[in-house]
Amino acid sequence: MLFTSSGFLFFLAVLLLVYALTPKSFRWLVLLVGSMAFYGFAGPFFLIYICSTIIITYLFTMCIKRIRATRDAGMAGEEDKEKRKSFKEKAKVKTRVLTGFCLVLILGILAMVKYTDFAILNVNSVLGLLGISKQFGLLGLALPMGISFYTFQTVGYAVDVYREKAVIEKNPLKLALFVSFFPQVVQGPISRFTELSKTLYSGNPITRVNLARGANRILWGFFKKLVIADRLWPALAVLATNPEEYQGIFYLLSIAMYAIILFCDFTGGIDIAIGAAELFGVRLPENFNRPFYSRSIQEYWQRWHMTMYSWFRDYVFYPMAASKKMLKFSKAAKKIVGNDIAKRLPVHITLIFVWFLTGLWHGATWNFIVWGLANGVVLMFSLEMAPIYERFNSRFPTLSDNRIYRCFQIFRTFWLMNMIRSFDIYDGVGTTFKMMGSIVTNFSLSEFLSTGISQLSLPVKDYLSAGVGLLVVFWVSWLGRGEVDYRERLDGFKWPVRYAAVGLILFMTIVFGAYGYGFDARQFIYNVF
Amino acid sequence: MSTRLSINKLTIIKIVLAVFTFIFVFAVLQRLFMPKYASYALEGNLIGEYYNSTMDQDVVLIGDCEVYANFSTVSFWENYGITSIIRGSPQQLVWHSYYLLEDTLRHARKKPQVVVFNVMAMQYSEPARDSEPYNRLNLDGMRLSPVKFRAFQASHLEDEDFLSYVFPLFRFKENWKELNSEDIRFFLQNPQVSLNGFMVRSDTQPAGMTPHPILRGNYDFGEKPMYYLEKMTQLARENDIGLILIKAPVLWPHWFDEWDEQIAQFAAQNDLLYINFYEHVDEIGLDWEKHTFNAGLHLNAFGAELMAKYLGGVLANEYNIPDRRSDFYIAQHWNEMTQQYYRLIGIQQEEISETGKISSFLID
Repeated sequence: MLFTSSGFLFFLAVLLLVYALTPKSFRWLVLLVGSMAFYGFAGPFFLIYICSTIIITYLFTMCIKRIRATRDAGMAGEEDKEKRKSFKEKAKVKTRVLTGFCLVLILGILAMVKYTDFAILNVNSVLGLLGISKQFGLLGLALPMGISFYTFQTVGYAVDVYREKAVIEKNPLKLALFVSFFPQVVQGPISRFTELSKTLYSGNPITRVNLARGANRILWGFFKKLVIADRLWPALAVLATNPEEYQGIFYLLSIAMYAIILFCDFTGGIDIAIGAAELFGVRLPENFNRPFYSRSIQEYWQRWHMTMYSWFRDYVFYPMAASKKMLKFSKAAKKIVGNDIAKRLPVHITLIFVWFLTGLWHGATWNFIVWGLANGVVLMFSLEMAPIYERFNSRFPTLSDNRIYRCFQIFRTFWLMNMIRSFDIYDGVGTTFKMMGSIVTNFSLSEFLSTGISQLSLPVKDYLSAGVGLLVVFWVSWLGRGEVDYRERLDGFKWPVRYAAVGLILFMTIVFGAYGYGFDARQFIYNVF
Repeated sequence: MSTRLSINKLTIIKIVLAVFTFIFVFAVLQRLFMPKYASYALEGNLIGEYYNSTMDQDVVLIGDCEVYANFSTVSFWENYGITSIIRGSPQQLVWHSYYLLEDTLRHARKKPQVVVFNVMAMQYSEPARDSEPYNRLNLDGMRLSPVKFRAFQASHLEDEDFLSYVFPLFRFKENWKELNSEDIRFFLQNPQVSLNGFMVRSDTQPAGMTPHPILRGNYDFGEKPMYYLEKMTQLARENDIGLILIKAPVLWPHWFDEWDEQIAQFAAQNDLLYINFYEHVDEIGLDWEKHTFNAGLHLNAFGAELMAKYLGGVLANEYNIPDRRSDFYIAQHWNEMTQQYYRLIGIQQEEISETGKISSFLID
């Protein structure tokens, strides 16, 4: 069920009504039934995957709970320090093994449906290169909705249980709600159990404030998705599918346009998710913090898809970079590359590995893998350059506060990220590199000046409406400066201004939105990840 | 619901004000962006115009362009004093016609005595893939009711949703790009384009070469049109209304003998009158050199007059449809309509003599 469909709004309204009429202690069950129904709409067969993940996670975490109970009981009656330590160690080993099995199984499901065909294709290519005629058939499994998101969320929970950072959920249905909660199951944000469980099971009442704030956020998501992302999409599709025709300046246009579309599409979806959860008094984590104002790529990744970034940081990067094996490796490398480089090696290796995984998580194609690696390489490069930047900044201490210099940094980061993101636009890594090269080899300025954007299957008035929409997005983004929720800033205005602003957004969405007959109801980009 | 939803008076006032403002702005935008059908696709007004009529009608003609272009309601009145109305729209399929009949019976204060249904659309089992505009021409004019919902259910394409028929702004929002003076001029009321559903065109384009008929593998009518024809027959029977099946005389698209036989058989089985006007062209006096405005596809106003004269005779003589000319109020209304008709014919004829073509279609 598409978030921007009338069906979803109807579903929300019915669920809200049922939720409001249900006694407090059973309200979370309403959310669970709603979430399962929502997931079932995408394809009843997909329920098998998500239910398998839930059951596996539940069984393993309950085993861990039992082991810990035994450990605690044993330790409680034991005064001998050594024996207490032994209880602890045994339990730790067992929980580690169980957690490992659990992760293998739930990640295995993800790998099976998402990466098997990719692996087979690559094996077939290698066999072909080796002159072996044997080719393996593809499985052609359909990708269950949001599998990458709920798998990561579940992995996070399992690891947190292992680390004893999360309380083990005894009720399988409550765990099922955590994994399948409908607003976030489509495209995140990736929540942590410790945070989400605070509001998810409490059966919060429907309040006027939550209704108003939730509806406001949902509207904002609709606006970004329908007025800008979906409106501009046909023009980008023309640019992306005709790389031979649209090169040079058209490439720059397409990567800038994709930045706008992806931002409005993804943040729009997240706005709807957060708003829908807010209606029920459930708080989801924020996933974006005005990323296009970032002055460096590190900052960008701390402000874009924040929950995914922090997930990789907490569950892959830190454990791997600080692992004993990595430290051993660093020690061994010291003799070969010297102390200075060897110290940085664990970070760099982990960084590249994490970004390889990030790329792979986004999609089972070489485009995404190269995209991930490109991010890793640029981040690694900027880490290496850090001392030079520091020296530069100490030489020109006032520069970082200079508005023009800050704008330059924002501009640089924006275009650098656009270039990296272009692997997501074109079909094939080679084509993307060729398009990058076309900035130098075939800039096509005269063609652009003679034909402009009018040839890209969109009437000029569509660009106009999307452009006006973009101005509104900038305005709201400005309202949200200083990490303040734009709605709180809006609350500072008198009520006629507030109501007028919301009314304007509403009518702009109704009139300028790309929806209804004659438009392809386009799924959210991150829905397929 | 929680008590936390309790709100003070000022908040209630704010919310009510906001809701009313929203409804007002929404209604204004919807009206502004809805097509006015004043200079193109005038037929878009036909279905809606029915509700403007305050008079009862003895005869209702239902069907597609073969009805609203080929039968003059004015001539029914002039020649026989028969009050009639046409409920037709372009490419109107059998299920559209059935629900229009239901809608007509729902709104009529006095039920008609006879319903005349043109069977041309029996050949279409399903709507064409690109027929959404025709659905709009038919359903947008219908007033919101359970009948409209059922009509939508029967006719909608995959991508259509009923919400856009309740709030057409969701469908016609893109018209903001093409707003023009007509949208302001006809903001309050769409123009009148017909005289009780009859569209007046008095220009002539003689019939020449007609397209070759496209032969079919199977000439059996589909299940869906047959189902709705049976429903229509049942509905007429239940309401004690005479049902006449007709096939208007046009040179194309071709009406195959196999189809004709099936309709004749159905009529015989259900004790209905079926008139295939192809068989009466000479009797009616139709001349394909003079009485068509687009080479035999539709009749012009003069052809429509002849058709009404012929069918009116059948209605008056065989169905005893009363002559209402002696009723003062009815006569006053119809005489006024007759004057409008001749006024428009006069304007159109003048335009033809001056420019060779007509540009006035609206009823003043």
